[in-house]
Order: sequence, then structure tokens, then C-alpha cells
Amino acid sequence: MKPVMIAGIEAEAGSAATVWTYIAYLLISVALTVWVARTLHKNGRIFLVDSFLGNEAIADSVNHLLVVGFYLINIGYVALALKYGDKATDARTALEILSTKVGLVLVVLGVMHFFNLFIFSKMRRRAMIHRQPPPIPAQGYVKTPDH
Amino acid sequence: MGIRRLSQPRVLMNKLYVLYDAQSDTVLRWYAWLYAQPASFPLEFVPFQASEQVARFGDIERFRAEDGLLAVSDEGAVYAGPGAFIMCLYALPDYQEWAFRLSISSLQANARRVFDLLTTGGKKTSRLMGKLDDEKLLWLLQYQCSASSSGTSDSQRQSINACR
Repeated sequence: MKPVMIAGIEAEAGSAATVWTYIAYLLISVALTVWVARTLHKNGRIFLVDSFLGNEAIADSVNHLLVVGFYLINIGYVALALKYGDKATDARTALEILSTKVGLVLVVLGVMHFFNLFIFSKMRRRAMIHRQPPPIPAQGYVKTPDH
Repeated sequence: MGIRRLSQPRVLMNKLYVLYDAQSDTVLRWYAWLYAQPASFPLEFVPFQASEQVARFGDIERFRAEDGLLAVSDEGAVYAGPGAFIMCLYALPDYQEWAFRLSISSLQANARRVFDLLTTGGKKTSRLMGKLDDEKLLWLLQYQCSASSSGTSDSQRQSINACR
């Protein structure tokens, strides 16, 4: 049996390792989220402008709203996942836990990234269809109330 | 005469006039369905029975067929027969892919039947039929017609009318 003092010191060291793991996890996860969001914001704009038939104001607005949603979901997940999992007791377990947590964040970011791409491509595909002229020739012409 | 709401920005057409036979139950069902769909550009419905409104389209009567439906673009282009159904689908973003599919394939002659099925079954039917290749879809249309021709109920009579 360990003396009480040594057990206390070990517990304190484990607690400090956990706190440092959490801090590193938050910093890395938020930095990754910001990087992915900025990449999506920058490179997704051209898709959105095309999808909205060149209407840059709407495209920028939707782009901004998508990025806000992206931040909310990812940072929300990072915050919720913070306390779950094993607690670090030393440097080795701290690295393992940090790796697992950051790995999960990367997977979530990847899923969100592809979801955004899916939305972009769906919107663009729809816009392309809308740009098509009538699929069949007219059988004749008449005057209309407009002409 | 009714005017459909606008759900998408206009791209290539300002408006599509849909002239319909208001005395046909089948055509009235199509009209009700079309009226309820979101459209890429405004649809303006004109019953053939409103002679004053029809007169605004010049000699449109010469295009009138037994289908009971005509489509006229805002520039005066007339689409009759299968073309009328294809243009109605072209105006609906949820069904526009059908317009392109029907216009380039052997299905064009069956546009009325496909349109009728879509007005009856909606998006679910559209999705299911969309998974079929042209050959299987043609078989389905033939089967639907032959099955309907043996029935006598109102809905079956409507299906028989759509097969004509």
C-alpha cells in the first residue's frame, strides 16, 4: 500500500495532466475547426455564387450562415466531448487520450466537410437544371397577353 | 384564371400559360396538382371555357387537342400534345428532371401517362419511377393502362383517360 502522501502527489499529477490534456484538446480542436471553416468559406463561395445564378449577395449570406452552423456544430461537439473518456494519469496516457479526442474531432470535421460539399453540389446541380432552356421545340407561335 | 406563386428566381422564362379544359375531371385534377406545386416561374392558368381570356392568345384554338392541356410561353411559343405535359413538368423544380427525360427518350409519346402518374402519386411515385430505365418504365405504363382498362371505378376511369 502506498503512503497517503505519495498517493496524494500522484493524484495531483494526474489531475494536472488531465487539465493540460483538456487545454491542448481545446486549442487543437478549435484551431482545426477554424481552419476547416475558413477553407470551406473561401473555396465554397464560388460554388454558391454559381448556384445562386451569380447573385453574390445571397451567396455570401448563405456562405456565412453555413460557416456559423459549422462552427456551432463543431465547437459544440468539442465542448460536449471534453470530459468523456479516460482521465490522464501521466504523459503517456495524456498523449493517448489527446490523440483519441483530436481524432474524433477530425472525423466529425470530415463528416461535416463532406456534408457541406453534398449541399453545395446539390444546390449547384439544381441551379444547372434551372438554367436549361425548354427541352422541346415549340409547335407554333401565337400572340400572348404579354406581347 | 389563377396565378401560381413564384418559388425560384426566373432564369429563361418569365411565365408559362397553362390553358386547360375545365370541363374534364382528369384535367381539373391535373390543374389542382399543378396549382399546388412550387414553380420555377409563374404559371398562369386559363380555362378554355373563358373565351375572352382565350381570345388574348390569338388563334390558339388550332393547337387545341383532346388532351385538354396547352402550354404557352410568355413569348407565345405553343406546346401541345406531349409537349404541353413536358413543359408543365419543366416549370416544376421538383419534377423538372422528368421534363428532360421525357423530351429525349422514347418516353416522349407517353408524356401524358407519366404526367398523370406523377399527379396521382407525387414525389414518392416520381422517385420510384425515376429508378426505372426507359424500358421498364414503358412496361410499367403499359401494365398500368391494361390493369386500369379492366376496372370501372372513377379513379380507374381517370387512369384509362390518361392512357389515351
